[in-house]
Amino acid sequence: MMDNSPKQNYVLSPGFVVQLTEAQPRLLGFLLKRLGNNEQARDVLQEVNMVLCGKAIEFEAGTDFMAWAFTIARFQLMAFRKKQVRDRLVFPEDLATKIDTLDFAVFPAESHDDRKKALQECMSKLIPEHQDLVVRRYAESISVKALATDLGRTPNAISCLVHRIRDQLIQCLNTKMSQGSAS
Amino acid sequence: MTKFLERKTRLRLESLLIKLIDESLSRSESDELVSILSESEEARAYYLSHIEVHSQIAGNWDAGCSVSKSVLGNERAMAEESEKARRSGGFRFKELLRHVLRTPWASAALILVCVGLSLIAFISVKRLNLQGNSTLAVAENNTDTSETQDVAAKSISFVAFRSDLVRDAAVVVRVSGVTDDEYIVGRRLQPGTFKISHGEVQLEFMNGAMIAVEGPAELQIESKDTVNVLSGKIGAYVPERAHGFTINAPSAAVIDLGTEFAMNVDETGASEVEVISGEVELSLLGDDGNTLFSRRVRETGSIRADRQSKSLSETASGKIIFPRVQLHNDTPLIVGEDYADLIRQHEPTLYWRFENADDSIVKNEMGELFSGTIHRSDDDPDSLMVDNGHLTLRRTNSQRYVIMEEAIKGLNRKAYTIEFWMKPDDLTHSTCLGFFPVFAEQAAKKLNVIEIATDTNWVHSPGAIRFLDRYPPAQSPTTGTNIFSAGLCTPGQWQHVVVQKNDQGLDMYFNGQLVSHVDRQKGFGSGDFRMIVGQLSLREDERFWRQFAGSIDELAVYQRTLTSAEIESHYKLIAEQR
Repeated sequence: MMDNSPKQNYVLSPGFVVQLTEAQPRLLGFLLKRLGNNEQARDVLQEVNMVLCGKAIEFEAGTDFMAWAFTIARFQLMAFRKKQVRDRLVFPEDLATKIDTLDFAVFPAESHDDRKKALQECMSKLIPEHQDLVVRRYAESISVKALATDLGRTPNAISCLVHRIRDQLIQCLNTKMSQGSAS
Repeated sequence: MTKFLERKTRLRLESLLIKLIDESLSRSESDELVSILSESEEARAYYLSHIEVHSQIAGNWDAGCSVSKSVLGNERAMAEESEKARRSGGFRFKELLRHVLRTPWASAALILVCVGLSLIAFISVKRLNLQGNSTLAVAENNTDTSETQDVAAKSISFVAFRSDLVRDAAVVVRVSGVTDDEYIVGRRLQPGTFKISHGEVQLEFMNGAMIAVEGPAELQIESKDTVNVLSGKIGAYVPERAHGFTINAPSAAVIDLGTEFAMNVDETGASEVEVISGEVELSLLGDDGNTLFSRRVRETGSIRADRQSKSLSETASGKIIFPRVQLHNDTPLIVGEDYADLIRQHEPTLYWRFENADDSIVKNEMGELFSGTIHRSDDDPDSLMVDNGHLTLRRTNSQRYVIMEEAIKGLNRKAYTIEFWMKPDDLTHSTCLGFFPVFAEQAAKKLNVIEIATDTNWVHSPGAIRFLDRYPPAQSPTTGTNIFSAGLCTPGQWQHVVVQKNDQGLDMYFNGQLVSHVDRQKGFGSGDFRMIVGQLSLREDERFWRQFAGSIDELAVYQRTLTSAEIESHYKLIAEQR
């Protein structure tokens, strides 16, 4: 699609920039959950970022940035779904709706900070080899293939191991959250 | 729960989730995932838990990329922005820069820039002529963001499909016979339409493919991997890493199979393809845009694809004179003695000028210690040359590098600065140089690395410069901070790079200007460090070489911070000799 509209100059406050930056993984996760496709999720995230920047001046400092960002993400998601030819969408409407409902019930926005703290605690409990693998995969974004070569294992084995680590973290998180203590 | 998962289904769901997260899920597997998720709430909960924790882990790290001053505009742009901001109640641009750079969240904020939210539209790079034929890229900012200007009087026009968030697809690396100064060497091109009425322009795509375009011609750049030639003549060179690069024409598509070839699209839309070396797969396209039939064209072969007559016919090669891609630019950096004197006066610990005739040693201009030893490839000795007053490196299938034999003791105890000039042949992810601890076998652990970064797993613009600081040095680090410039590197141009670490953080200067900074008060400590130039490490596995291709000159290492004024004065002494 061609868009020859002149580019906008954005004037963003440092606080806004930080909040938007921090929001990226959460927004991407939000979109990925509902689209089931990484490429589409990134496309929509781009649109969301543009809208957020374009509306930056409307954002009231001190109010809930993430709630605002999620609202815009939701609208962009709807717009994206309308634009797409049906067979290009991975998740049909009814499944996307079910996932959306469940996501809000299981991962309410207000529990995010507690989950974040809990995750840090859970990660510190991983064995050093697993911590190292998580760091390399996520912090350094080293590909599964490169990790496999480096560690003398198959890519599939590395993918499965990282999946097991995520499983472990989920269990740990669930325990911590059910105890109501993330400190 | 609507339905509990059977073990077999659960295992299949796990497998599909792994592929989804690793981005290797096929369309049929996606359909399978939909089917499982539609059937069971337990499956949906499991799916959500994994995506949630995946994005939470991803959000746990500061990617450590950096705000680039260059994207924030020049003084005039800043003043204009300040005025706009003042009127609208926002921050002034300089204040924004200052705040962002000083905040502890700086590196997080920088990701934003790297994901494409540039605050000012685009960067252009102005070509400065130096003495003789040498050229130099100078970062400059252009605040004229409208790209829908009257193009009739221009020899080149470029209209972007989308705006700031689209990744750069190509960079202008050579211009001749073109009168406009708007589309100049170093200019980044996003997907869009590129027209040239006369003259010749060479583009390098971010995957490494190069195209020389002769006016009149019109191209649609779709991405770094695909370009549509609507009319005109082009020459293309596609290196191995860009294998699969596709050039479409109205009636044909050429899929490169590792080659140099040329294409002419005439006014009827018929295409003629001539292969200079290697081979290509040429498809004649039907009305639906799909291949009607195809033919492999080998070296010196020439084929005409005509959709009207639905034919692929052999033609005599050499009939049309095509533009040719120029692969290497051997222009040396013109360095006067005043520059060398000034550097000496600023007392670096190490200063390699690559002037010496001695074949195996690079002399340190500052004393007996810290000279460099040249290691050439036995199979390909010409892949490392010290000639014409600079170091020239080519990529090859064996190791070649320059290494410092003596270690600098306590380099990382306090501030240090690394300064050099480089002229990369391309924007491939490659290591210019780095320091490693003396105890690190095969230089596998690093204190720092300076690289050209394109198509990596990190977030940054293509053709960015990366400065990694990692203390304690590690191979599989749990520490380390990156700063990236914007996509400033331009193949075939001499450019001045300075990185430094001090108690304020990490700084990067490009062509005399501060382009990146990140706060980092930690990361100092003991150790003795050696430097390797030309590749990342000495490990046997060539994936860890990241060989730099191009030239390096006037390399200096200081055990102190250089001031901005000193850095600018170094740059100007060479830049102003044009």
